[in-house]
Amino acid sequence: MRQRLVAAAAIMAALTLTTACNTGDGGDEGDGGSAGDFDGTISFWYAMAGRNGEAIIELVDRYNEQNDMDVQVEAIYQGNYNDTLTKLRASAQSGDLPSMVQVNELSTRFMFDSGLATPVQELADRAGYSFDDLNQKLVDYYTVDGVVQSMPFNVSAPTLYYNKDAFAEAGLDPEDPPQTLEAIRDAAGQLAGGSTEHGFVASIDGYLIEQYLAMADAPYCDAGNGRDGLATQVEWDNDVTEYIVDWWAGMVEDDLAVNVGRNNNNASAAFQSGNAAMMTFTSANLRDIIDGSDFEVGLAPFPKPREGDAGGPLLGGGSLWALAGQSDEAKDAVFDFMAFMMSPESQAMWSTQTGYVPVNERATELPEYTEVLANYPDLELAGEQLAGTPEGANTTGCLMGVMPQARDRMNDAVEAALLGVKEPRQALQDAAASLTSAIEQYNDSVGTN
Amino acid sequence: MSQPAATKTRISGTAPPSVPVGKRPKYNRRELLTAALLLLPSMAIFAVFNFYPLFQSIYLSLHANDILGLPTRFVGMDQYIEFFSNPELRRITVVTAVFVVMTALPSVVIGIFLALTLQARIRGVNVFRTLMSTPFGFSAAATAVVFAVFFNPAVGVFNGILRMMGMDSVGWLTNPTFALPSLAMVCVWGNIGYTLLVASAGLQNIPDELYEAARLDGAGRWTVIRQVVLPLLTPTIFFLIVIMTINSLQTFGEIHILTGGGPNGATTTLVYGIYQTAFAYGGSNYGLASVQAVVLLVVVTAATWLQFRVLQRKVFYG
Repeated sequence: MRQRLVAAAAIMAALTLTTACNTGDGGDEGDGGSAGDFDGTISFWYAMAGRNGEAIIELVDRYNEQNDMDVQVEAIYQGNYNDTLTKLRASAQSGDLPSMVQVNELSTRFMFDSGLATPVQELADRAGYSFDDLNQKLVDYYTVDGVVQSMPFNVSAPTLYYNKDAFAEAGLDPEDPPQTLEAIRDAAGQLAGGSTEHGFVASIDGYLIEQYLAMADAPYCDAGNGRDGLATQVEWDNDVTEYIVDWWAGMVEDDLAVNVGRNNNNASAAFQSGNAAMMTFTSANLRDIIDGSDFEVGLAPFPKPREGDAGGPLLGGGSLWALAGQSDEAKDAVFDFMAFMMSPESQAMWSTQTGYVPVNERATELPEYTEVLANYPDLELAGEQLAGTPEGANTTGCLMGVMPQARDRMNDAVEAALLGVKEPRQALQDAAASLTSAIEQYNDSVGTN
Repeated sequence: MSQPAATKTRISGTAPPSVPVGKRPKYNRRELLTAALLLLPSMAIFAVFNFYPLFQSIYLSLHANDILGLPTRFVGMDQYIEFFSNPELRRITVVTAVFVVMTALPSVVIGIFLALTLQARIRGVNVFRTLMSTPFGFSAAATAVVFAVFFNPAVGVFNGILRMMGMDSVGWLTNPTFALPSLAMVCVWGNIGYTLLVASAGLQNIPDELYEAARLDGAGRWTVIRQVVLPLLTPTIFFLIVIMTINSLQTFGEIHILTGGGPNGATTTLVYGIYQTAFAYGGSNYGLASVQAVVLLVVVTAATWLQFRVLQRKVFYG
């Protein structure tokens, strides 16, 4: 009996000790992260997988070898953009934030409103850095209230990929790809059932609808696309949005297009395996898609919804954010790494390995860029498309805190229409209505912050 | 979530409970103190990892939160009202119920069937037993990723087989009619390794004499299974049904990777709804998600209690 009591007491003592340690750790949270003691390590969360992820790691390795500040960057893959943002929110609650994070274009407003980040402008001013070499239009996109918020590291444009071999076999001109939704439908009619089972494929992705609306020079949300003030609702209940979704649903209903669900990889797999002859997809995976297809891949500008539409595509992709609460020394190190990622050499390598736009305009003069361009002339298309986008609120995209949820609701609407569960107009109305309370809640919580 | 650990502790539940005693014996203070001290470590762990999150969930379910998910102000039952007046609730409930039936029942039936066939006294039967229980060793994520490739609409194995047989491709995960059965199939595949193991262990506990006696009485193979084996296996079957029900109510990984709750909400269960509300697409509505978590807790408790009440009466502990 005595022995048992001793044993129990020992276990208890051990337990108290460990809990004591835990509270010791927790106590650090109060003083705002690890400000003050920078140990030369930068934690960098990124959201790219596959070939694009490998390119990021390659850049990080180069930096770790080269930099003269004795800084080590620790790059950590956190899943896709949504997963990364979810983890960022969770770690914001516990106060254990990384030094730097890659966030998609959609979440810019959220990052700004949350106050989680230090504007990049502030770090650039400390380092005496000038944004002059960078594409001004792209920097402007990440400028809120006149201050550059984040570094436009990976910028993409939506693109039409098509199978030139299948085009030739179907009697279509491989050098004259379709430019409107109607033309895609006509081409798909000739292509389907030929060397490819389907004429067209696209994953259910609200991103594409955002792009079509910008091409049509139509707004996505109210309050001047969220740029004149906080948006209070999305503007989906109109003819042009209905036209786009109706076109898509009709393509699937008539077996001209295959519905592969919401997973982007399923769309690129269908295209690359020769299952579908045309695909709307981001330029970000251009190299991957061209190299992984055993037919000649053609690239064309993103289609306009209707003949005569005078808008242009929005920029997609992501940017690099510096998290708040870091010491000056750490901030300088973070910015040194960011500047490296934006250097002509880094951007040339990054762009040619992926399909993203070279944001640093001097990158295009380097031999490592021009040599690859000779073999992959379509690498320039994304940049050209973005350069041709006219200025205006509709072609800069909707700035709204709940954009990620909006994209998801748009997915719901498109999916319901493709499955024939709802009429396109009804699906859009329902999705827009279901989003209103989320927008209200967001605006409410930003207001009370 | 912590499924393996949870089931391991519950496996001891297969042992018949000790005979209940009429009068509670008196303990002296010293014994009680020892008991309390020995219980303290596990109670401390329970408190940190189970009770604290539970009360935190209840707290969050009564509060609104900001864009980072931090609670802001007390809103009482508002979020419960929002949840119960949600038109989607009916569908989520039906999907969850159908999914539980489609997953738990086949898992138990197939597991027991395989365990019975693997009773055969043939050479190398242990090799098959090991092979067939390997799905137990795979994580939900690994299983789901492999099946996602099989289900792929364009380059998947399943559609490839259909095409080879001259049939039309099927939208395994993109067609709302097929998505839930496809998902259930993956989960059943993952579960049978476990149900097979437990059922085999249960079968080992049936003494050989009973088989012999039955055979001497002239019982055929089918009669032996029906009249001797299955009645003696009832504690195991009962245990498996309870565990599999709880398990399928909590399924998350397969849904997340294979369908993300789609298409058109056809695979959004109660658990997946919690995730979508709290985390997906920067939702961060922890209040409403906590309401769902509390409801899930009540549902799981009720289902388990009901099964104990109804099924335990039919259990024969030998």
